Amino acid sequence: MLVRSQNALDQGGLQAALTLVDSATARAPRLPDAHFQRGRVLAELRRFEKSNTAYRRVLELDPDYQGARYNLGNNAYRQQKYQTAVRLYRKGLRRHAAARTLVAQGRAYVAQEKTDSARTAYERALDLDSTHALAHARLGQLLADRGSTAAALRHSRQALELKPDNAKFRYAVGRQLLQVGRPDEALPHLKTAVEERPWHQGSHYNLGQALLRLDRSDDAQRFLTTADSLEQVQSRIEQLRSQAQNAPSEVKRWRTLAQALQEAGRLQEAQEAYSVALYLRPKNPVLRNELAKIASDRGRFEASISQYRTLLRQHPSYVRGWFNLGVVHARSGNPERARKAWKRVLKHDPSHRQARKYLASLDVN
Amino acid sequence: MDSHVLVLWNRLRLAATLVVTGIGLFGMGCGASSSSGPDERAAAPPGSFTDVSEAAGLGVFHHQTGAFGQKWYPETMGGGGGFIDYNGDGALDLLLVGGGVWPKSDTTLDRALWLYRNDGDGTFTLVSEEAGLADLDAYAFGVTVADYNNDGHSDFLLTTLGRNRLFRNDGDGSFTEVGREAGLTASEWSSAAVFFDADRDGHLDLYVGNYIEWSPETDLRCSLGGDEKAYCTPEEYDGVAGRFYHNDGDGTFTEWTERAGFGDGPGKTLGATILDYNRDGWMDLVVANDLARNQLFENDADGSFTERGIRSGVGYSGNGTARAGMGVDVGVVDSTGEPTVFVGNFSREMIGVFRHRRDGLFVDRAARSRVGRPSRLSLTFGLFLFDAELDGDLDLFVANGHVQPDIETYSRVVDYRQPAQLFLNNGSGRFQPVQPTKGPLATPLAARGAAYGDIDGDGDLDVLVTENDGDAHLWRNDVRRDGRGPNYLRVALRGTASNRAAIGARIRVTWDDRHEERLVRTGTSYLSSSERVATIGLGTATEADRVVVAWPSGDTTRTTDVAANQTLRLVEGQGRTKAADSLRAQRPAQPGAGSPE
Repeated sequence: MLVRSQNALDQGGLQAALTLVDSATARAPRLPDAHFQRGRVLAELRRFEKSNTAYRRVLELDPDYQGARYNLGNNAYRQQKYQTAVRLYRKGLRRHAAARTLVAQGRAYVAQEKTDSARTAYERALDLDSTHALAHARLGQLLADRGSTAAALRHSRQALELKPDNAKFRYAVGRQLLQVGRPDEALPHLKTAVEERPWHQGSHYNLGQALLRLDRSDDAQRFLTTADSLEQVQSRIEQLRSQAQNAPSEVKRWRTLAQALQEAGRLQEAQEAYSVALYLRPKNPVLRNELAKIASDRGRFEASISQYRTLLRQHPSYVRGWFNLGVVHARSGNPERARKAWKRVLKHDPSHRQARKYLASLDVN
Repeated sequence: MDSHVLVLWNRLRLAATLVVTGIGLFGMGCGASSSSGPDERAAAPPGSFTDVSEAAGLGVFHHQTGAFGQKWYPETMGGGGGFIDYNGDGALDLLLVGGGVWPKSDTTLDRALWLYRNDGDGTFTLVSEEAGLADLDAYAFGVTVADYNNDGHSDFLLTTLGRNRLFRNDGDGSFTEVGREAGLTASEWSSAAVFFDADRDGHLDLYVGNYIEWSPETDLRCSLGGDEKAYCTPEEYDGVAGRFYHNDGDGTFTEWTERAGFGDGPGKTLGATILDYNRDGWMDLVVANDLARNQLFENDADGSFTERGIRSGVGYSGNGTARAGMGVDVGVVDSTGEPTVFVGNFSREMIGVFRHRRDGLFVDRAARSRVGRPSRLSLTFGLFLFDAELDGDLDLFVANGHVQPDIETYSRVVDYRQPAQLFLNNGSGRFQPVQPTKGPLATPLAARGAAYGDIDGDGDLDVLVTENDGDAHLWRNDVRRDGRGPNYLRVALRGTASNRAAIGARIRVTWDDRHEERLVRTGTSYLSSSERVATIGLGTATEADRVVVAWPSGDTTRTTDVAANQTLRLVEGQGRTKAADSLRAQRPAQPGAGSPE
């Protein structure tokens, strides 16, 4: 049940994840793992007080439970209670000296502008685990903000070497190379950063600036123009995010945020926002349809189909759901299931042109 | 310069900094080198200010927001202030913006404008009535002082929530509001304003920065997460682009916004000033915008402009994001000779520090300048560069304060009232914040405007800070006391072929092996107006080897072997006119008898 809850959480099914974990805690009320998972799901729903209660229950049952204090600290951080976060991380560190806890502690120090303490925390993390990429990345950023560019770049590069697929790490290296006046070296990093996160205005902007410094004005202008457009989108998203977080029970705000993120191509974040909205309105077919679409767009066909099945159980005559289910089946290489889904569309709406067209194309193929 | 003396002075700086931080070493050893040099026993630590507001007679002033529970957006913006020698007596008078009230509320406005005459003895007298400034009815924000009609008397523009007001100085100690007949008829929420000679015709043109479209009828309900209404932030509203007015030379202006290239813009402007980053002699303009990209208008050498904010690197942060730009200033702060643009930003954002690279591109030096980190928790409105310590290089002063009075409820690390900050320049563009435990720089304020000027004629630069819904603070700089302390040179210019106020003139002072540059400018900071006489600290040097002035007309004036501790007065085409020991010695017997600005 806990595994299924975790799977549901991974797919953005917060309501399902919570139902499963609630069932687990009811059956095994003294199982720390169940309460821990409940704390995680509730944190995703930004129900921090309830999440904290769950984590505290974990610690009552097992004072040494790894991760409980760390997650309590993370909850405090997300609520901007930075001092509390530091205190909780410190408590956790007394039990288990873990690099990730030190990195999180460093981040909480940075939020309070206690940069010397932050630096110490990151360096201690690296003493424990010199291959901790995030510790290198965060230390690199801290040093860059303090003007220690050479040391910053060294750590940022190490982070990227350890996690070469991390788009944020690559962007940081590119940006720092540009800042120290090495646009030629920055260029390939920033190009990759743009490819990996085409919605990220910082990557476009810095790539444009790098190209300007290499006398490639025309190319630069293209990226700077895109950066300008993306900045406006980003600004809007941040505004919507703030509005949603300020009123976490208002489904409309989460939906609006999710739509903006979806339009910007930020599918992971859009999924998270739709998940919260769906938790608030678990029977809403439109929200679940969007969540399923995002799963499909991210190539997660199984998760998408699972969402559509849930949707169509709740709303058997929801034509758009049947049609999209057919599309996902077709995309995932299952034409017969697609045919069945599209036939269900025609059963409910015989004049549905697109379904007819797709069915016809199946027959041709 | 005698290298031994230089070492002593550097040691003095170190000791003085330690005093400020509470580890008292100041005053140990290091005697003065000569009677005209700095007396290290008497000099106060750099960054040492004394609050003289009460003694000066400013205690009765209180800025009004008109707040009556609606939390209307303009109530957060505060009002500015500045220095103006309105009666031409050579002493800087004070002009403060009183704020505004709402027609629907029961509150009455004490005064929209508070003019204080400098009595020359450390006190000021309120003269709004006799100066004709008492009856103004407006919700006002900022003042920009300049002699727009070249008659030798300082005029000023007042930006408001409606029609801006242009006050012409009649030369007899009074003003007449002439905005409408001068052609300034637009009615919108204006903030920053800059007088400068865009087309080098000898007359000061005017750029007015506008903020957002807002009225009580279109007010939105914003919150910080609770049920209570909070003050909104600019992303909720559409910005209004600025306007540019050409000075026709007959006391009137013609709007050339489109013609001069200012037509499209995000608005949301809170700061603006001039610079000449490509050194072509044509004034460029930098505009700081609130949650919209900053703009850099490059003068096309004909009085029209091309906007290069994004391309130049000034438009956005290093991450390509728009920040909450507010106060702005520009100056040469290091040995590269290139100008650096400083822009005050919101809390959680570093102050923007953009140094020109010689090719139209700017480098973000917030981190490397050491200004970035210490400014991250501050919300900076007022911001200017001045030589606080009289050591030659430009230091940075910022006035801080949040916009949400109840921000502590939502944030555990950002306060509503925040101390101002003084960043001392080590001469290479790296700054060290002064962190006193008491005194003006340790006092939390809801600060907005900030300006500098030498109110007491002692050669160092004093500071004016205004608060939102609060007092005005006048801080006397004590780096020179009783004629002792580091040496200085003040340079006052009067244009003839150029605009009379010499706005846009570049002053270059050379002494020993170093040189410093100042641009005579308006705008700068936030809603405020600093004095235009250039003050250059000479440290221990007793004279400047050379002073060179590049006038906006293209003429150049050179003079050599200029003794320290005086105001050097230069008139375009005539060279040096008169050297005086102090401004006070220059004061004419009767107010209104014009002296060079």
